[in-house]
Amino acid sequence: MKQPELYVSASPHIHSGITVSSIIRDFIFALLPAVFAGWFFFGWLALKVVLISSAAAVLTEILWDKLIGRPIDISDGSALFTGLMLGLLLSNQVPWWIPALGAMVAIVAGKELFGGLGNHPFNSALVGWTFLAISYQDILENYPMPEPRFLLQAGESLAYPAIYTLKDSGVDAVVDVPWQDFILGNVPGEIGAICMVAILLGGAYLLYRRVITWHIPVCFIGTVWIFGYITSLIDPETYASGTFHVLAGWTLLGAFFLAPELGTAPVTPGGKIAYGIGCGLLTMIIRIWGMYMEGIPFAILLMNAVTPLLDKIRPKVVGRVREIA
Amino acid sequence: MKKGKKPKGIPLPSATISLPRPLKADIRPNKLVFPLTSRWGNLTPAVKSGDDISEGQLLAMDSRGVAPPIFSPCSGKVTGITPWTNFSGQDSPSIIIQCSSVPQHSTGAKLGVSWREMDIHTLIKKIHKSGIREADSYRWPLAWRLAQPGLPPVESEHNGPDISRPIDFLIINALDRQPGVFVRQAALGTMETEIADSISLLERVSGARNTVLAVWKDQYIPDSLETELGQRGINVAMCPNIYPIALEPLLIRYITGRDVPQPKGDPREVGVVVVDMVTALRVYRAVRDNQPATNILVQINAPAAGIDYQQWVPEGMLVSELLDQLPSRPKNTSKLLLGGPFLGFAQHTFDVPITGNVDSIIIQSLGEVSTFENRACINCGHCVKVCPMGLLPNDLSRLCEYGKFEAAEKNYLFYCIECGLCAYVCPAKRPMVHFIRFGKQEVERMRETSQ
Repeated sequence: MKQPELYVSASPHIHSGITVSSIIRDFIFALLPAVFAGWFFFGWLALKVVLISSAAAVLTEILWDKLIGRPIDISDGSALFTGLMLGLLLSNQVPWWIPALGAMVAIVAGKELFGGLGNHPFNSALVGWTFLAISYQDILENYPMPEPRFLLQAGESLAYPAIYTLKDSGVDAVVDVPWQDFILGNVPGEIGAICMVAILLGGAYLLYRRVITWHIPVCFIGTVWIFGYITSLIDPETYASGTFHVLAGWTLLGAFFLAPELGTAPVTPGGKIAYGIGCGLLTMIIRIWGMYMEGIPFAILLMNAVTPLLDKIRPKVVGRVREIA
Repeated sequence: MKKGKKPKGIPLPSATISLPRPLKADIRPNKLVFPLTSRWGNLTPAVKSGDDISEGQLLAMDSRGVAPPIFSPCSGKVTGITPWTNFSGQDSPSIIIQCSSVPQHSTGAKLGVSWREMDIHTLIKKIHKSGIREADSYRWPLAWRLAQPGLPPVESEHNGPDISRPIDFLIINALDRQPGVFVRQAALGTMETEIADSISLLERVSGARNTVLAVWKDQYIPDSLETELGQRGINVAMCPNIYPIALEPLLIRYITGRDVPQPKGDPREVGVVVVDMVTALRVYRAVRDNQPATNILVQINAPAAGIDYQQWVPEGMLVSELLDQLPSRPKNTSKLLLGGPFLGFAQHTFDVPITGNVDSIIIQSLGEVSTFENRACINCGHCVKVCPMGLLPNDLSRLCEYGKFEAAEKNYLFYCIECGLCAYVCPAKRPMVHFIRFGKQEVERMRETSQ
C-alpha cells in the first residue's frame, strides 16, 4: 500500500489567521474616515490627490520589483497604505505631480532601498512628505478654506492652519477658534489631518482590532498635552494650551497612524512608552522653538532613528536568576 | 496561598464545549514498537531478537537508573531491535514486538498490603519501576521529581537529579496544555473515583506540604470529588482559560508565585513538583494493581471527519493500527500531529509508535493545514505581546536565522519554552519555533565542539 502524503512542519500547527495583509487592510480601513473627511471639507480635489498618490505608490513598487528582478508582490497592500497616508498629508491644492513624486520617493527611498516592508528604519510616508516639504515648500503651503459639502457652514475663524497661525500671530489669534471647528475639522489644513472625529474613529478601530496598542498614542498625546499645559501655565501670553496642541495640526494623526507604523516603532512595552514620550517632547520643542511649523513629522522621524535603542528596554524575562557578579 | 501573575497568552475557548467520547471498542495491537532513546539517555535492551516474552516483562532499562524502564504490555515475540521512526520523526533503535495476545492487565501479583500501608521508599521505587513516561518535557522523570530528600527511587553511584530540597508544593495539573486537547478535562469528569486516591498517593510519596489540583475556572468537578478533595485537605486552584498557563513554569508561577530558574528549568530548585493528572491516575493504577503503567490515555481527533474519541491504548502501538480499528477511518489525512496543535510534532508516516509523551493524535485535513511562509520579519511586535516568558521572539528568530547564535544565547534563547505562540500570531507566518530550535541545537553543537 502506498503511504498517503503527509505534510511535515515545525510546531505550532495552527495559525491565528492574522497576516501582514490583514493588518495593513485594517490600517487602510482605519484611514477611510479621514479620506471621507477630506472629501467632505475639501471636495473632489482632495480625492484626486489621494488617488494619484496611492496609484503612484503601487506603480512604483511594481516597477521597482521588476527592476531588481524580485517577484511582484503588492498584495500585502503596504504600498497602497503608504500612498494613501502620504496623500492625506498634503493640501488639496497641490499640482498632480507632487503626490506622484512624493509617493515615488516614499516607496523607493523610504522603503525599498532598505529591503522592503519591515526593514525600513523611517516611516516611509513621512520620508516622501519630508522630501516634498523641503524641496517644494511654497507649493505645499497652499491651504484653502474648508468648504463643507452639507450641514455645516465653513468655519472662517482661521485663514491658515492653526499651527501656522499660532507661530505667525501668537496665542491671541487662536484662542477664539471654536473647539468644534477643530474637532470636526472645519479649519484650513491637510486633507487627512484636520478632522479629529475621523482620526479618532480610525484610531479606535486600530485599537479595537489590536493592530496597535495603547502605549504610543496615549504617551504621545499625553506628553503633548502636559507639555502644552505646563508652558501655558508659565506664560499664557506666549504659549498655547495643551488642548490646543492636541487638537491642532497632526497630533492625533501622528499618534495613531504615523508613529505606531509597523517596523519603525519599538515593539517592547517600555520602548513604546519611551518612544511616545519622545515623540511628544520633540513635537512640542519643534513647534514652540523650532523653525518648522509642524513638529510631528520631524519628531517621529527622529524617534524612528532611535527605535532600535528603545527596543533594549525589554520586558522582564520570566525565570531569570540574578547573575552573580 | 500566594497567587502569582497571569501569563500573557491567548484566550482559550470555554471548557463547556463537547468533550471527546470514550471509544468502546477493544483495541488490539498487532505490532508494538519501543524506541530505546529518551531525554535522559539511551536504554539498554533486556531482551534479544527472537525471544518469546510475556505480558509485563522487562524489555529495556537505563543502566544509570534515571530514565524509567520499558515493559511489554502484551505477550508475544521480539521480532527485531532495529531503527524505527519515533515521535520526533527520526529513526532510533527500537524494540519491535509481534503481539500474540490481547493485554489482560491481570499479570501483576497481588500486593499483600495496600499502598496506604506501604513505606514511602518502597512506593517511590515502585513508581520508578512502573516505567511511566509522561507527556510534556519535564526536567526529570516522575519518580525522581517526586522523591523526598534521602529517598532516591534507585540506589545508584551515578549522579542522579538533586533531590535534597524538600517539596513545598505538589501541583496536580488537570489542565489540558493546549487548545484542542481535552484529555484531562474529560478524565476529570469521568474517573473521579480514582482521582482523589491518586492524588493522595502522590502527596504521601512526595511528602509535600501543600497539594494543589489545578483546574480551569469553568471546569465541571463532580460534587463527590469536591467533597472528597476537601476532606483530604487538597486545594483546588481555578486557573484562567489562557494558553499557555498549563505549561510547567507558568503554572508554577501562577499558583505559587515562584519563578522556576531558567534555562535549567528544574522546579525542584524552588520546591515544586508538577504532575499531570492523567499521569497521577496511571501511576496510581500501576501501584494499586502492582503492574507496569503500559496504557496511555490519548485523544484521537480528526475535526474534518467529525472524529473525537478518547481511548486507553497500549504503549508502543502504531498510529496506523489504531486508525484501522476506529469505527470509520478518517479520509483526507494531510497532516498527522502527535502531541497537540501547539506543542506536537508533525509525522511523516502513520507507522509511528504511540509513546508516553503522546497525549493526543490530531489529523488535519488539507483545508486545516497551516503553512509557513518564511518571509522577512516586519517587526510588528505581535510576538513580543504574547510571549509568556517575556522574550523578544522577533530578535531571536532573526538572530538564529542569520546564524548569530551567541547573540541569541545572550538574548535568553534557552529561556524559550517553545510554546509556539509567537509563530501562532506571526502575521508574516515565520516558522519562529523552528528558528529557535535550530538556534538551540547549533549553540549546543558549539558547546560540544569547544569542550
